[in-house]
Amino acid sequence: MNRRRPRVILIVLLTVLLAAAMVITVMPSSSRTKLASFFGRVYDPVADFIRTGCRRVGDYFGAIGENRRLAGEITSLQEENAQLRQDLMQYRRKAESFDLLKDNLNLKTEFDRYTIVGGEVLNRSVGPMFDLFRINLGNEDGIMTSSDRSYPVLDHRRCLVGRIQSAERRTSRVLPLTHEAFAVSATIQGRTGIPFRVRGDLKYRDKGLCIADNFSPGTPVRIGDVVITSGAGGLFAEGIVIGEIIDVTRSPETQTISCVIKPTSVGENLRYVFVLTEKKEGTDRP
Amino acid sequence: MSARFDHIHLVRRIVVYLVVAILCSVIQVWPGFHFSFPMPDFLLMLPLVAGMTFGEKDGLYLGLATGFLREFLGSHMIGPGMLGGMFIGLIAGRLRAPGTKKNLLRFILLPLAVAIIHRPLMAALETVAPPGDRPAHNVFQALTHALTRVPYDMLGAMIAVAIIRLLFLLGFYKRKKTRERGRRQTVLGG
Repeated sequence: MNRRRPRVILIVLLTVLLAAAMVITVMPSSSRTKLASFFGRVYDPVADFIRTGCRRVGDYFGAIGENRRLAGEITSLQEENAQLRQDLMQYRRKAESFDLLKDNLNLKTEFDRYTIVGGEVLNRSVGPMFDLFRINLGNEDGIMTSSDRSYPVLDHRRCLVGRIQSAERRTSRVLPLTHEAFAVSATIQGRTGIPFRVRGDLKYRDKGLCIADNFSPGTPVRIGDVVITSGAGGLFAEGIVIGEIIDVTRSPETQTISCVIKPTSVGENLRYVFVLTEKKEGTDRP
Repeated sequence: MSARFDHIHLVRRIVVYLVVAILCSVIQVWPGFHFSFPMPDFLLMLPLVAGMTFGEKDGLYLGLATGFLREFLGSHMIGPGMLGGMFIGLIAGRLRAPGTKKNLLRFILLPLAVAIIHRPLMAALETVAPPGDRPAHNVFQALTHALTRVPYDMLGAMIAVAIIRLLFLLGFYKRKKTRERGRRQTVLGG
């Protein structure tokens, strides 16, 4: 029995070491990312192998079940395919014309200043205190975080998901929009106005909502308004869709307004994300 | 209850722990995967089950490993998860009473106790060291919110313990020796 009981000195030593690690790694630009990078090289391929295996097994059985249904759809899909090919050819021509026009008129389109890097969500959050999620983009993809430098993370519909909290060699951790430590300067789409703040709130986090506050007096706010990033502060590009206002609370005493926002991003169902990194002059890569 | 696992070789235990830990971590954080019932926190309950089954040392080391895994997957610092896992494993090992009814009772009560304590403790700790630059909320608000989630955590903990226990039973399954089986057949056949 005693053989299985660890020495008290070992427990004390480990406790002290872990408390020290906690203090060291909570500081910005700590060596935590190096340790995570090293461990990720071992863990990620194993986890990926299991995930791929599970998906393949699921796909296999799914394919058997759907085989019959698909057989009936093949004919109609072939017809649709022919139509789509024709459409594609037309769209290609239109895209070429647009690029030509854009170059000639020197037009600026949305997020032109940025390079969009696409990645996959490796894991979602674990639980309380462990509530960041990981994506497979890191230093090698041009993501270099520091205490005053981060990057916005968008979903496939270009809606705001969160921001990069820390980056390792090949992976990064994302602080979601609904997290109470998240804050971004925002404005209402289609209206010129003084920016206000959108932030996560503990009360609404589990419901997948966030709140807007710090409105200037007289700011017109209505339920159904679409909230976008204002671009103030320089971290987030202007015009990224955050969400829709679903509730407005006005305080008569303090004359303040606060709103509940339903983020437009797909939240926990997220599979693929896009990170906006600043484009270096004269290159397409970040 | 746990006496049947007492003679399992160390290497086999390590292999099973490794497989179960990786499997649990992959399932728990599968992107886009939702549970319709409260989410079982496998990585939190793994050292507890190991401690209750094999004793303090196993609980301690597995607690450190799963704690690190939790921190690697979703934390902005290293330490609290490992510290928590280590103590959960240690306490579970200390309370272990193999082969008695007490052990079964503790197997039910300990996960519930961990579920009650863990979330409020982590919520309080997060107010001290939030992932952003500024303190996100006050301790009282964090604790009140955490306590509302505790019943779900308790249910999730019981589900997690049941699943891990099942995985351990599969991992440590011992086939009866051929000689024993043969002897039994001879006796039965007369």
